[in-house]
Amino acid sequence: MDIQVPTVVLDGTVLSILSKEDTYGYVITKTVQEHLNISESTMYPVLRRLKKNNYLTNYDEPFEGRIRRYYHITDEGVARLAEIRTAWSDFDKSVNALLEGE
Amino acid sequence: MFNDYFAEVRNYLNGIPTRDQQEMVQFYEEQALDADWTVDQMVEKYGTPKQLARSLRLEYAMDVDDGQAGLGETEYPQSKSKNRTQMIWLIVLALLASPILFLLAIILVPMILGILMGFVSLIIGIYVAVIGVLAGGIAAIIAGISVWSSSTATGIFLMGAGVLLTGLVVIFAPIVWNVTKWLFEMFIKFMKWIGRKLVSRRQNSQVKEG
Repeated sequence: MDIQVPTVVLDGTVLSILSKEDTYGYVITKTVQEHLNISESTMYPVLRRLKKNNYLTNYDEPFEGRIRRYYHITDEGVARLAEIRTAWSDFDKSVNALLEGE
Repeated sequence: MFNDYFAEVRNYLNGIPTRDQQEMVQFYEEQALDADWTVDQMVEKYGTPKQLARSLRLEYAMDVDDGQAGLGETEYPQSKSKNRTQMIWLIVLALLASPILFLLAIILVPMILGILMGFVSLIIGIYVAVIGVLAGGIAAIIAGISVWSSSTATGIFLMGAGVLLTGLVVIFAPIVWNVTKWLFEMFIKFMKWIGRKLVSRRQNSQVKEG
C-alpha cells in the first residue's frame, strides 16, 4: 500500500532538488518519481504554490525551437527548505519511535 | 495528434484569460514533449483533455476566489459570484469523478446541493420578511395618520406599532444578513478545502471517465 505524500514533504523535495541547480518540470517529476509514487500531474500544483509563496521563480529558455521553463529557488525558498528539513527529521524520529519502538 | 490534445485542453479552458491558460498548459505540454509521450500515454498520465482541463479550471477558480489567481495579472473577466458558481460545480463534478471518494461523494454531493438550496431559500426568506414587515410598518404609520382626527388613541397606537416594526427591520435585517453572509463564506471555505484535496488527490489516482 501507499502512504499519501503530505503536501509539505512534496514542497520540500522540490525545493531540495532546486537547491542543487535550476531545472525544468520533466526533470523535477522524474527525480521525485525515482523515490516516490506520484503522478505526472502532481508537480504543477506544487510548483504553482511554491511560486505563489515566493519560494521559487521561473524563467524561460529556448530549447529545440520551443520553450523550457526553468525553476530557480529563492532565498525564502532556501529558508523554507531548512524549516521543512528540521520539521521532517523531528517527525521522522517520532514516527520511528512509535512504529519501531518497544 | 500531439498538438490536438493540447488544442482540445485549451478549448475546454475557454473563458480563462489567454495568458493564464498558456501559463497552465505550458507545464503539461513541456513535460509531455520532454518525456516524448504519445497521445495515448498523455491520456494515461494526465487523463483526457476534458479531465485535465477540468482540474486546471477548478484550481484556477479556487485561486481566483482566494484573490491570487494567475500570477498577479490583470482583472478577471468573471464576477466573484459567477466564479464561485463555477467553482462549486467543478468541485461537485470532481467529487463524482473521483473513484476513491465515490462513496463519500454520494453523501457529500446531495449535502452540498442541500446547503446551497438552503441558502437560496434563506435569502429569499429574508427578502420577503424584510419587505413584508417594512410594508406592514409603513402601512401602520399611514393608517395611524389617517385615523388621527377620528380617534387619536388608535392613531397613536398604530403609528407606534408602525415605527416599532420599521425599527425592528432596520436593526435586525443587517444582523440576519451578515450572519447569513458569514455562514455562506464558511461554506465556500469548506468547499475550497474539499477542492484542494481533490486537486492534490490527482497524485495517486487517475480518473477513468468524465
